[in-house]
Amino acid sequence: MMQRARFPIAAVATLLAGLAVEAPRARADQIVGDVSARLIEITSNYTGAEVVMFGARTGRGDIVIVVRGPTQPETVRRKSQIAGIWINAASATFNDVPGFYAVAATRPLLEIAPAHLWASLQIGAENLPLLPRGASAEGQTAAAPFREALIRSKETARLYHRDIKPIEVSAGTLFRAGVALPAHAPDGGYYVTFYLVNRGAVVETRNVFFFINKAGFERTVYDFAHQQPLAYGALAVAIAALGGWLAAALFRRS
Amino acid sequence: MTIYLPVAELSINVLLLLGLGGGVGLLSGMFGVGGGFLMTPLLIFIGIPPAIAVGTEANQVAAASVSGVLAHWRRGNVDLRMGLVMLAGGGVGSAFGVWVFRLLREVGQVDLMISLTYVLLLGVVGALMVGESFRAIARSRHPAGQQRLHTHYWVHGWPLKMRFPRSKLYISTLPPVIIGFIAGILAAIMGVGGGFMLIPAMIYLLGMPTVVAVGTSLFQIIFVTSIATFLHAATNQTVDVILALVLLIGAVIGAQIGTRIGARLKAEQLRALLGLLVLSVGFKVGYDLVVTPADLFSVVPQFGE
Repeated sequence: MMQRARFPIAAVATLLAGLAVEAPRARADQIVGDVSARLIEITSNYTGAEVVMFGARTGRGDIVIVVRGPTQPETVRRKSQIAGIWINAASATFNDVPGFYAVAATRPLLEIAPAHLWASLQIGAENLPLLPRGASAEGQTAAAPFREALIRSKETARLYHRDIKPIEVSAGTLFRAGVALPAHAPDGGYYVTFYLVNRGAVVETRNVFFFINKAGFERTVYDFAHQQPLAYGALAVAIAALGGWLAAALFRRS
Repeated sequence: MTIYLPVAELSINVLLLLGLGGGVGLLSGMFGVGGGFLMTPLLIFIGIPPAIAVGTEANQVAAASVSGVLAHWRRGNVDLRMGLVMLAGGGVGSAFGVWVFRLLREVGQVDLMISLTYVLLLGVVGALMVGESFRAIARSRHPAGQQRLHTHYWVHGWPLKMRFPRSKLYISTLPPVIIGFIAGILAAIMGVGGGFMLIPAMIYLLGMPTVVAVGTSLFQIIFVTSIATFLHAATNQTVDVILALVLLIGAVIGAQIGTRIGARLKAEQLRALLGLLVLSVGFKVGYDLVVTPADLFSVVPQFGE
């Protein structure tokens, strides 16, 4: 079960009012945005969650929204055939790998601005700053297939979205886009950045956060196993002893 | 109908798990083996990470051995003193195995080690079973002469002798300690009780009576797999209690049915079939090592951070 705040119409109204007040000012292009839920609790049925990102903009610029999940280091290993057997041989460890990454935009990115802008903003899965640990310049080049494999693995797990999600714009001002977070999306803080891009340059950005918090029995078991491994191990043994004894007692009677 | 396994971190069909537990339980009931050496590779085939398959299976074998030992205990088939001596080696072996397991896991080679030990073990055990059962089938057609009641083996001459009244033995404590040590390593790195190795060793190396060997091996397997479970949980966090429980439910029911079927069938032919099954599982594990993987790359979160 996931909880999701209802689409907060009041919030949009406030945003619009804000824009109307600010409109007479010199800057024509402005963007405001928010997400439909600040705290997502995934409990037991694990269907994942859908987060709606919405807002309003003035002017003619394009909107780009980037969602970035919590980061952690990850190791990529490549198998090589040694004496006829496929064995993990070479490996590369990447620091700060986002556990989730998605981009939404009003048009394909390259129609909005040239590639170097996206590269400098690190927008798009291929522009993520995934650096192998302790690698030199030539090490970076050697790590390219590992980087590609890392992104591919995240895409297969539906954690990275290379295909850009469309943003719906209504009345030229209000926009919304949805992003699906699978059940195995990592816990923690997610950054959502709204960019307003006009004539090949970013004119304004806004940031919001939301959190994913896994709750429920399964989460408790996972936390217990990782935070109190000694007690968990003892409990596992106790459950086995009790379960085995119960099974024997049950079938002895019949 | 899926169930989420919290430590393995994946959703899997609960009926598939119950079926696996039931199927392996059926075989273990029929043949009187623990079944860990079949269950661990099967768990890996259905997508459970090998390290978690091993840790969890050690947990399940502990439970299954508890339920198995009670009947033997009531019939007086457990040589407590022998069991404790073996356990002295088993505890150390299990700790050593978990330590090696952790080292290999950190360098990304634990899956390889699990596969290689399985290919070796299943190949040898399967071949021995098939060979032995064919000889038994041949013997049953040509009844041979009488066997000796008691034989003195070379290990009986070793130092640190102790009396084991229940087994009617006066032997060195070193062989049982060494056998226990090896069983402990097997429990830690393969998630098996090691009954298939322990029982023949206790009968043919130590000279224990068969029924006492079966009861005593179950007794010491309980503790060795419990130690392995505890150490895996403590150092590698690879024990999924939910998975172990679901497998146990299937295995307990399967074993009850299996015992009843096994009582009606010809033992030698069944052993030949089991041997062939063991060989084919070993072949599949070996084949997966040799065939070109669909994806050469694998991604794992970095350890220790």
